[in-house]
Amino acid sequence: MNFSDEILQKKIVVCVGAGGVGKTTLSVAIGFLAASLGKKTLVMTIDPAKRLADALGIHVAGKPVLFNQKLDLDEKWQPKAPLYAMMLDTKTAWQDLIIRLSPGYETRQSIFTNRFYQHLSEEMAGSQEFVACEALYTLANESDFDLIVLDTPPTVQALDFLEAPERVLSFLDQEAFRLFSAKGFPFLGGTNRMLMGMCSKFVPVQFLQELTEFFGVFSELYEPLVQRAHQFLHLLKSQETMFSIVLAPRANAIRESIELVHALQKRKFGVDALIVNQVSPFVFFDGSLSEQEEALRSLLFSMVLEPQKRDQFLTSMSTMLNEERKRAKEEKKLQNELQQAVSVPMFLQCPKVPPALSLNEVLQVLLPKLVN
Amino acid sequence: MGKEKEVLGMPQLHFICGKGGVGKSTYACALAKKLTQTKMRTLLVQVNASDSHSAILKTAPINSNLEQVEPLLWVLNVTPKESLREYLLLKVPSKYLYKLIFDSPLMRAFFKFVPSLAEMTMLGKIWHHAEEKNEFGQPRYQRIVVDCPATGHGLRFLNVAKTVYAGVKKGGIAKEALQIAQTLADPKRSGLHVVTLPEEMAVNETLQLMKAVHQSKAISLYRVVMNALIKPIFDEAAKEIIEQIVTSPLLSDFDRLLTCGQKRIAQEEAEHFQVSRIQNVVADNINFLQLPLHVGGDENAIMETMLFKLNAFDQAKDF
Repeated sequence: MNFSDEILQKKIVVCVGAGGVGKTTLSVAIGFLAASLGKKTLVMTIDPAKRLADALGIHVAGKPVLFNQKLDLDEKWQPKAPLYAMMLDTKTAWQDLIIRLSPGYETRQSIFTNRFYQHLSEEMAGSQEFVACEALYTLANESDFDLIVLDTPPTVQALDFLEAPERVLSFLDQEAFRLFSAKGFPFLGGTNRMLMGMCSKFVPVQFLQELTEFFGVFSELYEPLVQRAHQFLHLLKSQETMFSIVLAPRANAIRESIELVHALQKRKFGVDALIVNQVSPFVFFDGSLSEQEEALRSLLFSMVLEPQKRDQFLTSMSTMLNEERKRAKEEKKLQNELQQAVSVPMFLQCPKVPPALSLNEVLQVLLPKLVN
Repeated sequence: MGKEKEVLGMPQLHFICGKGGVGKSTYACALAKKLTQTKMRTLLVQVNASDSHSAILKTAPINSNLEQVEPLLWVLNVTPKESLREYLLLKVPSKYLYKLIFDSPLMRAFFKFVPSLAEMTMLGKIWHHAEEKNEFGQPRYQRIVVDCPATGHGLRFLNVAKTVYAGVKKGGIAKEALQIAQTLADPKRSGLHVVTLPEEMAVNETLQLMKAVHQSKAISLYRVVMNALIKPIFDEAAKEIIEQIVTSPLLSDFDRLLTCGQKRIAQEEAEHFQVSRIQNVVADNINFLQLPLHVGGDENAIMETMLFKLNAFDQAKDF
C-alpha cells in the first residue's frame, strides 16, 4: 500500500501522536504531498511553532490562508492545486459552535462570561479536541477542500483525542442538568436542598448563580452537542478518513503507540499509517560506515590542514558516528518491536530534521520519504 | 546532623512542572531518589496521573494508597475522589452524613463543575502530608516531590489555594486555603522546578510559565532543568573543515557523513540558542541544571543516569 495512493482516496487525514514528535511538521508535509497530487488541501493546526507559522503565513487564527510562495522543489513536488493552512483558535471555535446551536442572541452573550463556560471552553481536558473535531466536521461539509489534514492538539497521551467527545459529554451529564436546571434548582427536595444549603456556606452565592445559569443555557445545547459528537465519530470512522499515528523512535513512545493502535482498532477506527519520525539518518544507511570513515580520513590527509585541527575534527566525527551508530541500533530494535506488535497497512520512517531548516528544506527531506 | 542539613538545604515541598514529554516524571523520580540518598524521608506524588512512576522506579503499580517502596521512599497517586473522601471523613462527624454527601449526585456534579475544588482537595491532601508528624514530633516526610500536571493545568494547580481563598474568604475552608497558599509561597518551604527541552515550543512555554509564576507569586522558582541536550562535539575549527570539504569537488561517497556532521552542528547551535533563552531570564539564585540526551536503555536506566548527574550538579553547587 502506498501513501500517495491512499491520500488520493481520502477526504480527511488525522495525525495523532504525543507532543514533541514533529506532528505539525509532518501534517504540513502531508498537506504538500496531497497538493502535489492535485488535491485542494487544507492543513489545520492548533499551536504551530513560530517558524512554521511564519513560513505558512498563518498569523491570524480562525480562517484558512492560501500558501502562495514559490518553493524550490522538484516539479514532482510542486503543488498542483491550492494549499491552505489554518490555525485553530479554541475560544472562537467554541463561540462559533454555541452560536450555531443556540437559539437566542441573549443567551449567548451571558454564557460567554460565565466562568463554567470558560472552564469548559478553555481549560477542560478534551475541550480543544472537541472543537478541533467540530471545525473539521464543519469544514469537511461546508467547504470544497478535497482533503483536510488535521494536526491534533498535543496530548500527553494520544488516545485523549478520541476520548475528547465523550469527556465533554460526560462533563455535561444529564443528571446534573436535571438537578441544576433553572426550573429545578429552587425546588430541590430534601437531601439536595440541605446539601445546597451547605454548599452555599462554603461558596459565594454568585458562584451558585453562575452554575445555575450555565446549566440553564446548556440544557438546551445538550442534545445538539450529543448529536454533534456522534456525527464527529461517524466521520472519523468512515472510509474517507485516514488515521496516521506519528511517533518518535523512543521506548516510551513505541510502547504508547502500540497501546494506541490497539485501542483505536478496538474502537473500530481504521489506523492506516504509522509514521516513525525523527529517525536517525543512519537507520537509512545500508553501506559500510567504516569505509566511509576511511575515505574521509584520506580526504582530510590530502587537504592542507593544521594537524591539530584535523585530528580534533576526526575525533569529533568519530564521536558523532559512535553516538549515531548506537542510536540507529536502538531505533532499529524499537521499530522491530513496533512492527511485530501491531498490524497496520503502512509503515513509514522519516529522518530527524534539524530545527534550523527552512520549510523548503524540510519538505525536500520529508516528501520523498512519505512516498517511499 | 540530619537536622542541620535540613536547615541549610532545600525546601520541604518540591513541585515539578513542565509540558508533557519533557522528562518531568523521570526528573521527579530522580530527584526523589536523590533526596532519599541524602537520608531524607521522601514522599513522591503523582497528581491524578496515569501512573508512570512505577515503570521508572520499577515498583508495583502506584495508586491512591500511599505506599512505602524503599526504606526512605513513599509513593502516591493523588486522585480528587479519594482526596475528597479523606477530607470529608476528617471533617464530617457522622458516617451517615458523610455517605450522604459523598454519594449524592449533586455533590458529584458540583465537584465536576468546580475544577478548583478537585485540585484544592488534592493539594490539600499533599499539604496535609507535609504537615504530618511522626512519633518523634518530626515531619513524617522531610521532603515531598510533586509531579504536577502538564504546564497549563500545573499552573492552575499551584494557584488553586490562592484562588479558593480569594473566592471564599471566610470559614474553615478559607483558613486552610490561606495556610496552604502561604506554605507554597514561602521559599523556605516550597520550590518550583520547571523541566524543559532545548526546543522552540518547549522553551516558549517554559518562559511563559516562569513569567506567570513570577507574577502570581504563588510559589518561588527553585530550579530550571533543560533536559535531553546533545553533547557539543564540534568546535569552530571543525565547522570550517566541514564547510571546506562539503564544497570540495572530491566529495562523493561520504557526503552522508558530512551532511550528518552539518546537521549535528545545526542541532548543537539550535540547542545552544534555546539554552541561552533560558539563561537570559533565570536569576542568580535559581539554579539552571542541564541534562544530556540519553540514547537507549529503559526508563529506569535513564532515571539512574539522571540521578547521577543530579548528584554531581549539587556537589558542584556545594550544597
